[in-house]
Amino acid sequence: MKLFLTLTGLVVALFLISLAWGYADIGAGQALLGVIGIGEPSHILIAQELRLPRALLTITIGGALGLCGAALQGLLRNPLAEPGNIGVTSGAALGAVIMLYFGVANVTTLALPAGAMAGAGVVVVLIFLLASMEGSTTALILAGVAISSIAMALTALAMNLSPNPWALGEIVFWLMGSVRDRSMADVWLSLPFILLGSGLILSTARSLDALVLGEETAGSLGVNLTSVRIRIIVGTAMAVGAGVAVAGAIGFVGLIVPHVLRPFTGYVPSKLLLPSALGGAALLLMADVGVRALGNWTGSELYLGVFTALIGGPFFIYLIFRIRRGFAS
Amino acid sequence: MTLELRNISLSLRGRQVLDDVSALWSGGLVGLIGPNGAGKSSLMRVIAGLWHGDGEVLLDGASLSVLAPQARAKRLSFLPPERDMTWPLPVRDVVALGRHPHRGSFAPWTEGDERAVEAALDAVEARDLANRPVSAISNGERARVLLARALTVEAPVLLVDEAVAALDPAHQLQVMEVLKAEAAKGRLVVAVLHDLGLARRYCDDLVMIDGGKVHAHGAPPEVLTDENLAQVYGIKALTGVESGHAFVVPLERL
Repeated sequence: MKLFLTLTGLVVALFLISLAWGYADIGAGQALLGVIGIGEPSHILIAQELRLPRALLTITIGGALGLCGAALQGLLRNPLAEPGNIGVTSGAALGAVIMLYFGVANVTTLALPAGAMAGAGVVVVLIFLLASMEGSTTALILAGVAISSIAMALTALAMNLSPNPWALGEIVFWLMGSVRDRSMADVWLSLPFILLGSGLILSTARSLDALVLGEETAGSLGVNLTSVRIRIIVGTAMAVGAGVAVAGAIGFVGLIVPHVLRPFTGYVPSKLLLPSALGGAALLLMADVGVRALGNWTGSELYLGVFTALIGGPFFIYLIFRIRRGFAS
Repeated sequence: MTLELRNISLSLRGRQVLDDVSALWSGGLVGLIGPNGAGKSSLMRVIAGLWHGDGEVLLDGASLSVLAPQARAKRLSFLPPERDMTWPLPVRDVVALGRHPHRGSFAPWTEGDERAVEAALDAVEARDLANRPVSAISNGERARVLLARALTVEAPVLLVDEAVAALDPAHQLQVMEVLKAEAAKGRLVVAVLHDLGLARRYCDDLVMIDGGKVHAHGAPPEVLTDENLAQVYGIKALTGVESGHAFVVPLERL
């Protein structure tokens, strides 16, 4: 409970900072009042059209990534599982790029998230099949690397063949992952899928606990493994797919957050889910405030996905070394 | 309480693993013995409802296959041989996982749950381990903790696959006593055993399996005969009774 309150407080504080502070030259108080529609029209516009969607997307996507990381690690019983490094994000990106490439995205705005979710879903199913055939950590990571590479190669192929060179730049920048210049429309497009996916994942909490003992014991305890797998696969595909559709590929949040929080939850998987969602939201808010601070200083903003990868990559390597020494603590 | 196996057969990847196994038990400590690959573990998984073969498993005359997973889990507790755990949970939390079938998705932890955990920890004498992480205890201690987890289910049928593997002699005897005590409470305990001496001394009933078939079934002295040991294990063993304690010592391969 203490952990829960601490994390909630952290998310609220970072949310307010994210709203109050940005590139436009307006005061923190003016920005916060602007969000609730008080003050000069230009301030209200900046607060409601720029800052609010950006902060909301950061919270929902960060939360989804943290939650999916915790759930995938619980399901696969593997501390290295994460939507990014097992290829789910690349799969989602490929799905979205295919939609852009064939012009479906111009027909309906739902095509982008639909493509991303389908891509993410296919990858989670593939990873699951590969990982359950040979349950080792190495097998999972290698499968992830292979699937990521294939998805990225296919994405590159789609871009190579793209008839529209102007769209290319857009795709490349979107792939790097960012919540910059997003609108409330993006929030409304992704939020329902993220919430639905998160709900599916949260419904598996107790079953994930039983899975601590292995699949056979969990099965003997009455856990319906097929149902748990389907809920987590569909939930992850929806949440990560929707996030990728509006903000591109943002990696490593789902790896770092559950790992940092796990000791505080007594290593019980069900107790890790909500804190990981809050922690993911907090981490991504921090990262987004960070890239804006750097952007203010250097004059050009680093992409959020690039930033999280710069922090997360070394962390991933550190984790691999720790896990080689036995328990995933 | 009766558990009946009616003509159980199972094929895995075209190989006949179990061939027409039938048995009827109404309690006590039952030992499943037989060489490696005889089908003991497969039979346990079929009884536990994890694998589905031909034939039927009946609990009090009702087929297990029609029970919902949670209802089945309340009546059959299964301890598989796998001992690996990914996360270093505290021992008490691991044991508490055995209450899973008794709890709904949002049901709070009850006093009954707590009592079951305490009783199980006491039964395997692991109370002093309760707050240690499972990563910080020995393999033998982990085996006992996982047995406590299986006891926590408080199911009328307890299925134990390889409970005494990796245990020192004192703890082997302790685990056998725990299983015997559970059987004395009116439960049916079915245990896969490799130690024929323990099987001889502790079990009320032995089922000797070979090549997926029941080779012999009955009281331990009737099953552990020189002839059966030679046919099934290909060994010659020294059997006898010393100061009231029966023993079986494998001597040589035939």
